[in-house]
Amino acid sequence: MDFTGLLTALKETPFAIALREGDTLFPWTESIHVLSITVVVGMISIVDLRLLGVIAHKKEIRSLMGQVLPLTWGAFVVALISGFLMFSTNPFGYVENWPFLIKIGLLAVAGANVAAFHLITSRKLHLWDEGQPTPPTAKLAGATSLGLWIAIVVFGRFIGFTL
Amino acid sequence: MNIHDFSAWLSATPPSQVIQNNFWIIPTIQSIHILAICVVISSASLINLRLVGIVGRADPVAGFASRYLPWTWTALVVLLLSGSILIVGEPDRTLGNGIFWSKIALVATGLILSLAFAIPIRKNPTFWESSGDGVRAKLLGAVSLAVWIAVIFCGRWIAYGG
Repeated sequence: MDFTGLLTALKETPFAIALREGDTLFPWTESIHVLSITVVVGMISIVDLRLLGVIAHKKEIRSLMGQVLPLTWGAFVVALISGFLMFSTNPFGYVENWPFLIKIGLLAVAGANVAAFHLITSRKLHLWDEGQPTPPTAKLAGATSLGLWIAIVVFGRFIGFTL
Repeated sequence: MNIHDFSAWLSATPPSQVIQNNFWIIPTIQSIHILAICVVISSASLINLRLVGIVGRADPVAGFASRYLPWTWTALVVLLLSGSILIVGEPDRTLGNGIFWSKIALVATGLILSLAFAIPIRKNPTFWESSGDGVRAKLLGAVSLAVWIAVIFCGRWIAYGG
């Protein structure tokens, strides 16, 4: 099946039809999407700011991540599912919408940034976990993440005005 | 002057006209508004989940308060300022909308609950740990959490409400 066929099939799935034709299903999904995104972005920025040395400076990074990241991942899964459901209602509209395409691209970069941090930068985390200034690589990861997520929110909001 | 006359008057003022005639202003201010909500919901949720006992039970409540509460206050100011600009830009969509007023009532409730959390802790940092069986802390955390979630839902539903 080619891309167009895939999008057509998605558009005709029972959930896509229900969301398109229901009176309130779409706004409920949107609300859940906004809630989960605000949790993801807010929680990640706490870790980002800690890596930058701004917030919670005395708090051990590993302990902070243990408190914040499970919520972040949970909310991210909800954002992904609710986002996919919204996409399914009008797939051809979304794939031609430039703020949506930029948002997805930025999400991919944010994912790569998370992977790089966990696989490489955080290997020596025990050296700067508490009471030590974070290394430049950790600051870079934090600043990159913060900038990306702010941009993701902004482009996400512009989808509603350009779709 | 009723609320609709007021919206009509506000809508005709020069600042409102500037917002209405520049397509990018509303989504930009809305983005700032949502970013402020990100900060409110995450900082308030961590404090409330600590009160409920789901997050960071090994850490003192006062630690959560000192780390996150200043961010809640600052973000609430940004929220109110950006929200005010949105009202000026779209008076009818907001002031003439029942869901908008529900949101305002919920924000006021969230603010009062945050103060109810913050004030006792200033005098006694272990207030919430040491107050009886902890039911009060759990209740405050749970209600406050629900209120901020409801604020976000109402915010989105303003677009659909009347």
